[in-house]
Amino acid sequence: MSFSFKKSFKTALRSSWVILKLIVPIYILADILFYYDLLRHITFIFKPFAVFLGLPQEAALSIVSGLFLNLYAAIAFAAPLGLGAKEWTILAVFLGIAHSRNRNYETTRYFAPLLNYFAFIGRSLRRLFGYTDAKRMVFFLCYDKLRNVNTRALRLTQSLDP
Amino acid sequence: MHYDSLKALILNASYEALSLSIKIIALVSLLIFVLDVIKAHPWMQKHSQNVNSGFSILVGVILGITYGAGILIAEYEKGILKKCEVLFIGTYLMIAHAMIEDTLLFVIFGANPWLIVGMRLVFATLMATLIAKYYHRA
Repeated sequence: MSFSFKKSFKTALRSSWVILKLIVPIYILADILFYYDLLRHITFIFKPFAVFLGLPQEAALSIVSGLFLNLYAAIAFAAPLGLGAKEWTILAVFLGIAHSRNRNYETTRYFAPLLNYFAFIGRSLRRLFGYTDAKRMVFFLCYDKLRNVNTRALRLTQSLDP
Repeated sequence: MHYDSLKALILNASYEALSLSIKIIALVSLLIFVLDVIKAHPWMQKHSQNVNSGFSILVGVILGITYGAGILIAEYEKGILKKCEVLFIGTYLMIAHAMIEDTLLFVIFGANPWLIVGMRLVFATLMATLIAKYYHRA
């Protein structure tokens, strides 16, 4: 496989469209919630976790969406809050380790038929395919992604179960 | 900051959201092209055929976990890696994968890249060693 400008361009275009669709609505929503102080009422459940990480309470939505939705959703939730460099570093380390990656990009060929079907039903259903259980952070997450790369990996993950 | 009306707030938010999206799109597109060039390089193709165990970690750290995991599986099925090694590499990759793209996404907001990369590498080595040792004992 050699480098093809057209193919990379198409991948970049696809990614850009997904990023746009994700970031703009979520950013606007987060900004509205933040300005009208509604974030406090939503995120009070996650407050201990956020404080444990050293982040303000409003960043809890960003953490949760990074764990369950997408890295870009997490960035969009965290961007309007006006966090400092230290908080962004904390977010980067945490979300870099534990974020659920939207599997559309690279592994589309395995899920494409199903995705075409569900894309008409709604984005909430697509979240199911991007969903990664946050509790399985350390190595279950890893072979969850292994499973999606190659279905033969299912044998591998079964044999790895302690 | 004080806005006069909801409409002003939404307009301002949309403007900022668009500018942020454009920044992220530029970064991601650039990364896609650069990584595609790396992936298509003949050195890469040659090493995919006869891999050694360090290759999957390298690929996972730089390119991203999907590609690293693919190479990891290929290496396991060829018999080059044992199960405990796969567990080690898997844990390592889980913590420290796709370092370039993920950290750059946060650096545009002003995070400290050295801290991010350093912490993730140190943490990955630590956790992977611990988990591999635990697996050996169990």
